[in-house]
Amino acid sequence: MTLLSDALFSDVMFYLVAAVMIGTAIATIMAKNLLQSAVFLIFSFVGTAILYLMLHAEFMAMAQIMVYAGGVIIFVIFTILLTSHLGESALHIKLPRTFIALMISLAFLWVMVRFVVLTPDLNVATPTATSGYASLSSFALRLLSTGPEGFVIPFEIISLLLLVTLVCAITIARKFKGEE
Amino acid sequence: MNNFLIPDILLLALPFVVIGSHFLFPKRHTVPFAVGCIGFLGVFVMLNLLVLGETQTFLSNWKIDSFGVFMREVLILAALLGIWFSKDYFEHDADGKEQLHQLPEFIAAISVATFGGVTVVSACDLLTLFLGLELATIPMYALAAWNKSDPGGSEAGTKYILMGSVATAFELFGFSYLYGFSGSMKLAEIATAVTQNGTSPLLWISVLFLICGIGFKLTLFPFHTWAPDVYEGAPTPVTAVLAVTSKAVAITFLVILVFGPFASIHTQLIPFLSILAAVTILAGNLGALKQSRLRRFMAYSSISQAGYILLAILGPEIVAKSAIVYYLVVYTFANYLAFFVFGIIGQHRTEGFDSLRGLSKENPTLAIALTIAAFSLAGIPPLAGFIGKFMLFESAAEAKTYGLIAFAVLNNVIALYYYIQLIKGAWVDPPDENLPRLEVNKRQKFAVVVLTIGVLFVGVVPFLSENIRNILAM
Repeated sequence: MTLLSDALFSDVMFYLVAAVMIGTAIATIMAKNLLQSAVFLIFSFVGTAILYLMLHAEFMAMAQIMVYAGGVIIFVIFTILLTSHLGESALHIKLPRTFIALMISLAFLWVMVRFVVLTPDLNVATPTATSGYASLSSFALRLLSTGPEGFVIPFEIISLLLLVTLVCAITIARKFKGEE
Repeated sequence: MNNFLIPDILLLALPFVVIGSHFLFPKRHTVPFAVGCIGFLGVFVMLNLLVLGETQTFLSNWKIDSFGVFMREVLILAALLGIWFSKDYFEHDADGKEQLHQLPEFIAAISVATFGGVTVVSACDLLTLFLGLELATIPMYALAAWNKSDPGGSEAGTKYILMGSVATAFELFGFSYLYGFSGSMKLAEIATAVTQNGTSPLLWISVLFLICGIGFKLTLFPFHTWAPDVYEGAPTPVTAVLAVTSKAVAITFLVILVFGPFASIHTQLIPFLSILAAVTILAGNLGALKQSRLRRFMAYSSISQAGYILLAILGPEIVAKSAIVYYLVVYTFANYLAFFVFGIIGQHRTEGFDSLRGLSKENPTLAIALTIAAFSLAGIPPLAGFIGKFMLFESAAEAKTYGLIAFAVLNNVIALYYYIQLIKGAWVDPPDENLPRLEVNKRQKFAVVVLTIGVLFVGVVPFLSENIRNILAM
């Protein structure tokens, strides 16, 4: 720790993790094999979890690993393995289209980098929130509190959203009498 | 004071009551429909009984102001007309597609989508605002694919969910930048941050993404390409609901953002919104010229209507909000009137312009109703559409965008041309003896007569629009 100060160390770590995340994200969409791209996605999600940890949001990090890296990806991999012929023939893309897409992406990247670099106060690695702001207990308290800092209404609306999605999905998927 | 929450809670309970009534009376198919109609009607009446004026806040996170109550009324009215219109499609085949099933769930999905609109207009923080928009959109994905026996419906649902997810991603990205810029989820605190630092690049990236995201949902020009396919493939009642409810929610979302957090950069936003409005109107009008299918035609017509509604956002807050509320009422009436007529025609015929032939001889009432709907959508005095468009243009004129208004008025001539195609089909074109006879049941007749009177009445009663503005200005 004598070689690098704490702030510099976390800066270096941030850029390292961010670079890995971007690399795996690109690998996710570039991979020819769907299974490979799902595996790359796991690494990208784990990178996000590490970023959360660096911001002292332990609960978010746990949720990220359990829900996304653990749950969603397993689901995706199951889906891919059960429908193995999916997407194999859809990879013939003509060159000009790739070229135009590349140009648009580069232009977009340029705008983003330029705009973001112009913004002051962005290169602060230490979290501005108070210590324990994103810990599990304060998180749960804020989620269910009715005060000005509380999120009870969005929390309840999410439950309604999930319920209606479930009802709609079952309605679309179920078979009714008369259908074989 | 807590009276203000009762309609919201009733609306929230309605989907469960409708589905529950189906479980209680599984043999009687009219019960859920009746419960749904009575529920919407009850909520609508209760909203009208509220004494407007002050902004009410509940749980520090749910605010109900006059604009909110007006938008609730518009959304409930649209939902009521939507289920009234869809009932027939659950009873028999129409437009060459099989009948729909699961009416209780259908009504529940529509009322949850309506509650999503209510959430958007009541939100005080970004999270609630975003969830409200999703709550209004996700049931629509399912509704578009409701007819399982129709591959076109599944295609429409898939297209809609793909484009909608992209739009959602854009919005979330914009929101995350907005949060990063202001450091707060609360709309009021974001507004303060925007006032202090209105030129920050982070803010403008977020504005860019938010406008792109909402452009998808509001079918503004470069993002409108999904609309004709989805409107064409979805079942006809869902198309009607999409054209009215989903547009009303999207425009409300934009109003909440533009006159809430972005109020202090409103003048800088005017050039972007003007360009979007102008190209949307033109694209919708040019697209509508060449259509032969009625629903595709209505899709392009609704794209250009979205452009016209966008004009109002250029003006100052009170004028803009009253113009939008009033125009949405007018648009709801006229659009549903047109859809009711198309629904009656499409029952035994294909939903195309050719099926309109000889309508004036066979059923003059329907022909008159269609004429009134078309003229109102085009904005011909003395119908409601004229006053509505007049108010939209007035709002834009307050921002001194006269060139844009002139462009929009000239575009109205194109719009008039294609709306007159409908009327020509009904009145001038020679009747086709091979077309099957039309059947009109009591429910449809009632709706057509009431909506026709509504479109005529709203246009010639001047105090309604004045009232809206006076209450909003309080």
